[in-house]
Amino acid sequence: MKTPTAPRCRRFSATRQLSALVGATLALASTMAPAATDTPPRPWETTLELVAAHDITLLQASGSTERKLGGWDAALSLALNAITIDYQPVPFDFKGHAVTRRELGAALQAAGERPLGDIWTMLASAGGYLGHTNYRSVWLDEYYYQQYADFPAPPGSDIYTKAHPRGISTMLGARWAYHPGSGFAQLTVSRLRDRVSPGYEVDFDGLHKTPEVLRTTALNLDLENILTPWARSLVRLRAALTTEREWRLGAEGRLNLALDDAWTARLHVGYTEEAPRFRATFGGLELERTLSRRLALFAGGKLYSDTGEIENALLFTSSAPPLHTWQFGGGVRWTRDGWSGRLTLGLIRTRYGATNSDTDFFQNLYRDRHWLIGQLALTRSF
Amino acid sequence: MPNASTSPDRAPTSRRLSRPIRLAGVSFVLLLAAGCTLVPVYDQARVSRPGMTFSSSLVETPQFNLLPQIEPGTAVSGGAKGAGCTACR
Repeated sequence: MKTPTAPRCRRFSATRQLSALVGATLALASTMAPAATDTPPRPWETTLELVAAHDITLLQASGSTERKLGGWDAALSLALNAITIDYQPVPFDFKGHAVTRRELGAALQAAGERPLGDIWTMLASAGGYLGHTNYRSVWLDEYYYQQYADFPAPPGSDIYTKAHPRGISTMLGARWAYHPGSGFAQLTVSRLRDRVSPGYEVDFDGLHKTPEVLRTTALNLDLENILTPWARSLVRLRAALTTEREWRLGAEGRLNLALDDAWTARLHVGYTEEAPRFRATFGGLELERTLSRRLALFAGGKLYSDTGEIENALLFTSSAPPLHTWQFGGGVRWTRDGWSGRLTLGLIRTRYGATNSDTDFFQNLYRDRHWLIGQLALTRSF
Repeated sequence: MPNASTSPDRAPTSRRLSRPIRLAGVSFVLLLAAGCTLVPVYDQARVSRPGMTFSSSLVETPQFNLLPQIEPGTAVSGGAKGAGCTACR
């Protein structure tokens, strides 16, 4: 059972993590400072993103830079993440208590493209991250901690252990410009290894936890075409296989239309499925009005629906029930003196299907919420 | 234990989703087929302006990195984070 000092310990740990992340950021920034030598233009992009509901706050700050390295077009990106949840157990959870929990994380990725003539381009990337990758992982880890930290451990059973999520990834691929300048196909193969915050369940033999190390193989195929002088399309197909899961298949189509010299329409639709029952569909439309060479306004909306996630629990399941969301928002994009920026603000409403007796302990995780979303992106070309 | 094959919401959900799935499929085929056309570079001014490209820059192409946490079916990359809830049972 948690002691009163545990939250302070975790906050102290988070402070240390934050210090390390800031140090790493400063070190990285120093390595990415513009060189004194005469080099081609190198864009530098910084993004701040916020997604917040009344009990959950997600924050991400990221930066990336691109430069020529030999025959490679190289890119380096760093992202810092903060997840804060106000954990609230259901009233009949007699072992649970409310607590605010904050988790920090960081991700670093290096990517490169090397042209092989006018038609082919070789692609490669490698990266890694530390920390929880989503708020549900944090919420469930707190739930498992409060339920099972003091659980008896007979021989052959597992015990609750503090999670330290982290992962690495590598990618190799190629781009084929079958219509140079107007059409290309890109195929990539990724291998990922994640150490996740595991799930726990109890049976007659005691506590058991799900695998902590997950390996994923993912294939991505992108097809981008300029269809007409006023239409550009992107079709993205994805297949991914993760440890103890079935193939997760996804497709997404995007179509950008220049309606005239001032108006732009952006449509997208997508679909994802995974056996035995997960299916998700989503789509949206955004309209943009160019006011001048330096200023544009945009607004749009999006709908999302899924069938609920895969679960194979013995008694209780922590998997999400069916979910429906709608989103709308808008913003401004501007260009001035070598700087380009984009500010987006919006709202999302999430509505879950009713929980049943198997998921009652997670009513507060899968509750309907209104989310505020915001993103500020700035690009500087030296 | 709930069973996927006996879940009461499965059949109606499948029926509700079948139409957008077919529409998405038809859209993909049309987009792929349309890629056979060739638009010369001198005629690409409109499709190359800001907001019309599929750049990786978030200034050019709107994309929220954090939204797949809320809408798990929209994740297009990543290992565990793109595979749904890994802590769920």
